[in-house]
Amino acid sequence: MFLDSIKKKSSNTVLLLVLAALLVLPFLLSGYWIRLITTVFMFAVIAKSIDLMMGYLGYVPFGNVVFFGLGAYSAGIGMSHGMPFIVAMLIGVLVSTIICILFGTPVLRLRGHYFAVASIGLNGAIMAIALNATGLTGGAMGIIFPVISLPPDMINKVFYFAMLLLMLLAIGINVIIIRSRIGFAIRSIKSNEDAARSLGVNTTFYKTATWVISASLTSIAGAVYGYWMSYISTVDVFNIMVSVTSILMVLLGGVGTILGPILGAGIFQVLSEVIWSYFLELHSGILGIITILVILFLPRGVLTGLRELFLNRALSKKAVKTNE
Amino acid sequence: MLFEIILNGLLLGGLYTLMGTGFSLQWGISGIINLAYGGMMVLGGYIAFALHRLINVQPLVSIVPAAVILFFLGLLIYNYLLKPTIKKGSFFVTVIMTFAIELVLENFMLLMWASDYRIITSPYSSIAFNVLGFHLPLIKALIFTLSMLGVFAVYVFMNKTTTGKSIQASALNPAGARFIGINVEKMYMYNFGIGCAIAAVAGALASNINAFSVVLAGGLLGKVFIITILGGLGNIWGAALGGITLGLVESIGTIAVGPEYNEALGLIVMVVVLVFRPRGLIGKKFWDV
Amino acid sequence: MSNVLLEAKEISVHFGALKAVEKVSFQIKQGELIGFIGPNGAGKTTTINLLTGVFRKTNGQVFFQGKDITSVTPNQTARLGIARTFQITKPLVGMSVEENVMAGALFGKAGRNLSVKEAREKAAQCLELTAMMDKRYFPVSKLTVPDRKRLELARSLATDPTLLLLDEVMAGLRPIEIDDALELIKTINEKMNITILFIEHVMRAVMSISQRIIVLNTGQKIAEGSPKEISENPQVIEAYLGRKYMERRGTDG
Repeated sequence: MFLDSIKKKSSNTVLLLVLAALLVLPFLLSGYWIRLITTVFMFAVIAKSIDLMMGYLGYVPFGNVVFFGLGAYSAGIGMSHGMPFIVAMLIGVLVSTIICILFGTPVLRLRGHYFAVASIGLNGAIMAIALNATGLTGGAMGIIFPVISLPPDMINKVFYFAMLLLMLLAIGINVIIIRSRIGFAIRSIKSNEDAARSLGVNTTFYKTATWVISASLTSIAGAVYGYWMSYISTVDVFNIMVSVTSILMVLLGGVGTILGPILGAGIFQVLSEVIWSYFLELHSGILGIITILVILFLPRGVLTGLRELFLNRALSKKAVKTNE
Repeated sequence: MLFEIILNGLLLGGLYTLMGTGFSLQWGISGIINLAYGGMMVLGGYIAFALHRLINVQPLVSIVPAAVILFFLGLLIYNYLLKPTIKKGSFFVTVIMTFAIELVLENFMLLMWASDYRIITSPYSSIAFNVLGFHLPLIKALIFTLSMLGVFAVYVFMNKTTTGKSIQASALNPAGARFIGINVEKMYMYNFGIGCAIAAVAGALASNINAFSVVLAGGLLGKVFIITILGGLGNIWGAALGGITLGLVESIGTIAVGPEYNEALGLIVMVVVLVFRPRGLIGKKFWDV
Repeated sequence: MSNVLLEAKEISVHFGALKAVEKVSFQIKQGELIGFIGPNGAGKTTTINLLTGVFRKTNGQVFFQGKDITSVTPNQTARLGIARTFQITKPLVGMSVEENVMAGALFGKAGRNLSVKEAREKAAQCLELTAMMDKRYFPVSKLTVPDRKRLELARSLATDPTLLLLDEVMAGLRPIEIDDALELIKTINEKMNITILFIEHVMRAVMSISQRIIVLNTGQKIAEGSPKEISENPQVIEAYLGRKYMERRGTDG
């Protein structure tokens, strides 16, 4: 027990150091790197949101990017009507929540296959609607966000910290969920839904609630992304590749762990940049091959693989807290 | 005018039925959602195109080598990539695996043929009939006929041959099938290969009337999803119902709301069906033709 | 004021042409310990499923504490205070023994008011009762069959039930274990004042502790009464041993 508490202390220290480093980095690095890391944070949020469904509940939301798009468009449309960013962003969250409740309730009652497919369909349908509701969304031309009157250098830093904050929020929510009643509900649903029901767990409610949390985080990420890029269009923000690659990140980093999706996002983005720079034409092919290799040889992700390799209990203690 | 729309819808429906059958076979029997299906269709189209261009094989004949190549490719993919994944991981990891395969396929095709649109033109491309005063291109009728023949062939294979029946048995009751000596794993493998072959045939057929390119793979996958969900899983009649429904929806949709909305319309119909009748319009649970 | 806790009025459920349960009626009073027997396939588990709302469409009515709960869903029945175990145990895989029981505590009848910490304490109590404390942190996969049964029982106790429906808790247990199980069930019924309806095939168990027995055969209730009455009831004997036996016994007198 004593040894465990020492290990816990050391892992906490490590994490604090990492956090401190992250806070300082933007003042040391060039714009390119700051933007790269900001993108990692963003994908970390999307990946963590997906992992909430995938790792904890056992449902894979292939189409979760729809909430990213809804967040981005809500922010864009809201701001073009004069609303402050925060309000427009919250509208995005509201819209996402409503959609989760409307679609979640019937579709989450079904098995995972149907949910996966339905979420893809949902994304496609909403993307098509966004594309065609030219009056509201600008159609194929997209939406331009109000210009931020700050030097580009400052803009980079602002959004770096915004995404970092969002990522920390996602981590915090994850930790709270694991230790709380909702965490028990989600895990029991994943373990044995019939048993969970017989114990009094309102499975539909908890499944939908999980999806709402997942969708909200993703939607906020989309809103921030839109403001950051100053311009969005349907093909970017409703792009199914966003959620699919996020799923890959979760797999890569370790499903159902707190830091896994973040690690996966980091590795993935770096790899992506490297491949893009040197092997542009082989980009998707290499991505595919890496995925195949990860699935065949590292089926539970890098994090779990490392864990088993070095018996590093510190990280795993933090990631899979049960009896604290 | 209405007649022409419906006729077109039905003809398209024939092709869609064939498309849906292959995908539904893989999902309903082998239990695999094959996200590489769209890519395989396009690959079938390219092979047919290449054979036609390079060694002047009759376009509709070139379907056969395309199907054979993809059948064996399917066997290899199942045996070396999918089977180990199914053993190790969950259902969804297998789906991700098929997605990865799709990425590799697409990249391969991009390298070979770039993303330009191709189409197979042939002597019979321009022949058309006059049916009851309406314009009916011969090639569309041929494709419909061949599609229906293909579906019929699958039906016969599944129900009249030993292998086909073994495959069905493996799906309905793996333990029982194993008990009577059927190599269930092999059946799943053959089934997957057949599904890929069907994809190739559908793609090769389609390449005769539609310009195709790697870019379309995703959209094709989307269509095949819609067909399967509409009709219900693992059932030829379901694929037929789904295929014809989609064919009609698209045909009417093109005139009613314009081609851009077409894809959306299909997807919206699918989502509606999923929400209200997830087993599909037919609603059969297992593969029983 | 009636102390009828649960009343089933002509409940039926059909699967296609199969009448799994057909017009079954009975009452269970507060505090009773009732055995529920019948040959395999008689419809006993189906009845429990019916009572807990597993089926969407049922005919007949079910009343609990006077209120109609016929169309109530399984998680709601658990909240109301009806707990059940499964014939083939359904432990929450991937969670420890303690967490399994905590899940019961958190979502059962009193669950809404319990914090995670309090749920842990309640779980400890239930684990004590079922002698599982030493296996508290075990992953479910490490448990033997009798332990799984005990876990299932502990878990349903954690939901703070008024009525406990047990489905063949003793299947697969050795004689000593059966005695322990009997003791436990009696304790739960007498000391904790929980009404129990238990399905069982182990006859000596049913006969020794039941206050009353209900007998089902091919979906219908064929007898109800004290253990003595049931053991002498010709229809019951026929159901288990067949008509030929009855006829032979008839000639012996």
